[in-house]
Amino acid sequence: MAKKLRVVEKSEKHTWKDTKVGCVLLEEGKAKPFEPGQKPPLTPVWDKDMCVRCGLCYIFCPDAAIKRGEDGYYEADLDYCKGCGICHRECWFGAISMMEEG
Amino acid sequence: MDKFGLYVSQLLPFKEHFLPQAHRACMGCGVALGVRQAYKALEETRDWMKGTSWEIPCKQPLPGSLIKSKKEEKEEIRPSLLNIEKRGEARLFLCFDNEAVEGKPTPTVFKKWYPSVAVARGFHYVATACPSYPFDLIDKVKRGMESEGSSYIHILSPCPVGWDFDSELTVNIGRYAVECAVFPLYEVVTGSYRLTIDHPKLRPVEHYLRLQNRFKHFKQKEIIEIQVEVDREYAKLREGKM
Repeated sequence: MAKKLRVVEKSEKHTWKDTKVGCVLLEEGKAKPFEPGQKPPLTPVWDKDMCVRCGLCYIFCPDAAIKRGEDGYYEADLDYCKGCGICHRECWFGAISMMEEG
Repeated sequence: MDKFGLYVSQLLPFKEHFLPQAHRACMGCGVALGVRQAYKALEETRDWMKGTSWEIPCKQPLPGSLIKSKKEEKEEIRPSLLNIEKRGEARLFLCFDNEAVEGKPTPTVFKKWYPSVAVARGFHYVATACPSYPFDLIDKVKRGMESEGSSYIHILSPCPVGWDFDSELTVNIGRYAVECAVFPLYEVVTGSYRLTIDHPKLRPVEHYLRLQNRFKHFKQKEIIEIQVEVDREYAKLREGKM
């Protein structure tokens, strides 16, 4: 999973002319507006016949990627899933399998 | 929020204060899992420090700051935990321990046990927790928030990169650490000890050590020494004196 470096063009470059007087920062730096990165090679897929909707996968997800749908079954938000496989390991009923996307 | 005793994760609040785009953790990170579960027990209280992505006022101090002494030319670590409590302020400290500071593990040297330091320092509520037992962790964070004085919670967070194991084993290894009594779960309310999870039959320590590649160089004789040490510490805890 080699990550491509973002190429900064010359026009985008932050120069000394862009700094405010006294080097004041008007906006705080936070990670909220960032977009998620690459998708993982293996992603969890639920087998709805085996799932009992207990929610163990939901509480053990480190990235808060698993969300509850309207019908009570759980789904992974593939924008934030990193493919660690904890949900696959911790499911008591073996309802989650790690599959390749596509 | 009062139904943690039922152990049903659907009754937990679904609102996430710990946003997934707010951290750059590796996959299967124990720290990210611990932070996310701890934030289920907390609520948005004040409007200051809204700038962080985590939506709850917090600071991230280092457990030890490097200070150079003038007499001897070597660096020593002074924990900031010792200096904060004397002001008499009520705060909640969460320590996420991934056992990375000690360097290469040796069978004779054990890590500095910060919960005992916090008890000696006079914290009102001290507890240890592990994200493999989520309802226990959430309950302890909530109790620490409600106590009058300062409280300190030591959270074991397995690290797939540093401990060298497969990322899907994160929760499993945390559970083994508790079942082998390497990391016992207990709480100390104004000086009196109580085990929150007490397994009647403990696992041998070898099960926990052999799952991780960082203990690969340990020999069988050294593992027996560790087992003796762990059993002695756990027997002290069961009697309620540490």
